[in-house]
Amino acid sequence: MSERIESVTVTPIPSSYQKELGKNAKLDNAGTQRLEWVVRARSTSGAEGISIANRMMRGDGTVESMLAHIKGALLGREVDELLQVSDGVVTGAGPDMDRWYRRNGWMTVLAFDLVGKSRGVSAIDLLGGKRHDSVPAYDTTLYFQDFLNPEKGAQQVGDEAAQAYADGWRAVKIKTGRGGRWMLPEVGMQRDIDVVLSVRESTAPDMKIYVDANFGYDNHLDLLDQFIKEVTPADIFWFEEMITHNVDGYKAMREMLAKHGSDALLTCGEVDQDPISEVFQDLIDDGLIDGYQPDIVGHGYLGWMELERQLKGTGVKTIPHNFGNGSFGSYASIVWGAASETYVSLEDERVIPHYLTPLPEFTNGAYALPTGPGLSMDIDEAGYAPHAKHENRMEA
Amino acid sequence: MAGLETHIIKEIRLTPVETYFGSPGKGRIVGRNAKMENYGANQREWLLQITTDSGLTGLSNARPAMNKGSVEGLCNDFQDLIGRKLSGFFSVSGGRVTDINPRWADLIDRYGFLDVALFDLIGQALSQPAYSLLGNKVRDEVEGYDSSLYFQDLVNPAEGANAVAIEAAEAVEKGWRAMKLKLGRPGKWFEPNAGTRRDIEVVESVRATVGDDIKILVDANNGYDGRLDLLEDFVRGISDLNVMWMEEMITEDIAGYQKLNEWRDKYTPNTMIVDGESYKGRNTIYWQLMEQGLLDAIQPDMLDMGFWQFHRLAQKIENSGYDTLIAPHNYNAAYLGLRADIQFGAATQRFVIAEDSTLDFELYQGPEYVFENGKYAVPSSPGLAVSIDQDLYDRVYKQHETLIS
Repeated sequence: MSERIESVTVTPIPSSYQKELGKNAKLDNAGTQRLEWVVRARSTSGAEGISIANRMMRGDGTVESMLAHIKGALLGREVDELLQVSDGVVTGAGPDMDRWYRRNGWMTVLAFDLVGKSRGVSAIDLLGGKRHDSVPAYDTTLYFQDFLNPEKGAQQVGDEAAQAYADGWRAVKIKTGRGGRWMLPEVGMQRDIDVVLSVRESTAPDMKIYVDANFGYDNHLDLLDQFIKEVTPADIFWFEEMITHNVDGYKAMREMLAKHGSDALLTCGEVDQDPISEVFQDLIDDGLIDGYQPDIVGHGYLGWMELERQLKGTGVKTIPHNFGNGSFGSYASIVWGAASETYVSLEDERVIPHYLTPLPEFTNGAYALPTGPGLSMDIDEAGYAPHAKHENRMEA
Repeated sequence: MAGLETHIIKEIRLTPVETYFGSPGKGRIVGRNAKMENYGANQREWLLQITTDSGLTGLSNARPAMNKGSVEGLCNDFQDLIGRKLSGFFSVSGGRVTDINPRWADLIDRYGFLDVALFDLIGQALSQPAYSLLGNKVRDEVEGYDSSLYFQDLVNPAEGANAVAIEAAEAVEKGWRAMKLKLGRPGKWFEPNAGTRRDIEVVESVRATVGDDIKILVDANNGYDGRLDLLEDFVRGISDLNVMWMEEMITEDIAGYQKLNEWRDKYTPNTMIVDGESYKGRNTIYWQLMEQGLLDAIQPDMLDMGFWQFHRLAQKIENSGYDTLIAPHNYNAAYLGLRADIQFGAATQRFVIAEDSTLDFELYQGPEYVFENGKYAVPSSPGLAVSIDQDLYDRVYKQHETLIS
């Protein structure tokens, strides 16, 4: 008997961080709260696929245009039309679905959830099966916290990293690039160094440290060279977006790493809106990056399956960006991370849980794998109820 | 004039200063407007301190520049100010600023907040309040409106429209007698019909909560663009709610404003139509709107404009014979912007009301700006009548200071 999507709701739900997040190299404070545009697609069998459509609300996006798109894509559609499945593994988009999924990767995550729940299988299996027994995660909330607590300066970031370690995290990402906008370049570089060293001194040796400059060292390769030299003793695991992606700049960074004896990875790619676009392909082909980072929800599971195929044999790891995806992003990342052969670490905003069923167990810096159908999570109706008055409902 | 020549700019300091709506971790989150994400739980000014070799310090807030630019860029542009005599920026005669030196007109046009610090310095050097450099005092106190009532219903969804009314009641409790409600929910965050209903519901809910004596202003941040049908529904919906002004209901165009004026006249004739925070000079649609009598008040930003440009605008409107009033936009954290706004309002007849972000900063000291019954007293001390707590500055903020010397 056919199973089709009989209702879709879209509901804005605020999610809160555990603290105020400050600036990065280019943007003013991230703040304390984000809105997740939660999409629930319910089938005639009662199965429900969930995702977030946050990216449709960026820029000129409106609720009106989002609802129109979702209605056309999902409402009344047969669940079996969402994805092509062969031998229990997804092989591509369902007929006519490519045009709806284009630039809306979030919808493919919903499709995996709904198809998985409908068939009673895990989305991990639909992605090809598990490759790991757990998914490591990193705390991505160490922004320019020194601006928020100026009296403590760099030590504020060190203290927050120490708290992350105490909370069970074994990897943190530090935002750097202060000289890109908010400080004079040389002064900002020195603060960046102080912050990284403070984090290393404030945490245990088994804490992995990632560094992300959001291009804050553009036009200052001399300062970047000095920064890398000074922080290499802190054992940096990766350097992310230290400069805007370009072959010559990344060649120079490779030479800096070699000169200073750093074995850190070079990563970038979250800004690639049409992956793999030319400059990133050049960086991959020339062996100049080690990790590639389009967004997990934005690019979606079908997009990432294709990316992993393209990256196979290059040595470049999959490290999906996840900031801004709120509560939902962690679930989506865990599932992808479990099934991805070269997955490194989950970017975790540490959002206070409130409208989804609990995340898998988190121990020693990693999430256990979920075992239920789909993404193995559901709406916590009690947590959802306060938001229901803002629900936009469409029925077939 | 000779007095000003003896003061030479010696150092400029640029320092980020943070504060919170309420207290850290416990305060309010100010939500979305029609187009933008949450305004946030905390805000910041970029404190500009210009110090002379005579020991005077003029203050302003460089945030308008830092909203887009960088510390490095601002330092490069302000380096040229070092070593300049205070007499070189404006013509001053009989205790009034009468003209700007063309040498500095471009820089001050680009960085209007710069002239707030310069007026502060000139006032101190001449022992005059900043307002008196523009003209005689026309009022002893300046009313402020709480400008922090955003889409609080999306911050606190369980309460719906009442979320705004709850915070409006808190504003009244704290002393404000006027408040602006952010509207325009059809523009982005709501399905348009639902957004219009919620906008009306918010105004109804706030009016019912605060009573008849509180001024209610509304601002849609152009959230009714493309939906004039819904705009008419909205104007009709607030017809008996005594709204003081409607701001940026749609992006400025003559035909749209003609319709808006028509509906205003029909449904709520005492409500002003205001706009113009993006004003950039005479060759803009704002002058056409004023010429055609479609704009009751214009709202360029206080820190974008600075005292001199704003004063010139007021003179031009006066000379043109238009009825348009002036109600400066002021939303860049803006403790210092509000003080500038109050000084400007003290000397400007057609000034309406000051936009107040309600943020306080522990660093600033301006005790003469006594806030009572929704109004700020106009100080009599020289300059801007604001100083900083130097001990606190040295202990907390100095390490983030960028010094230009």
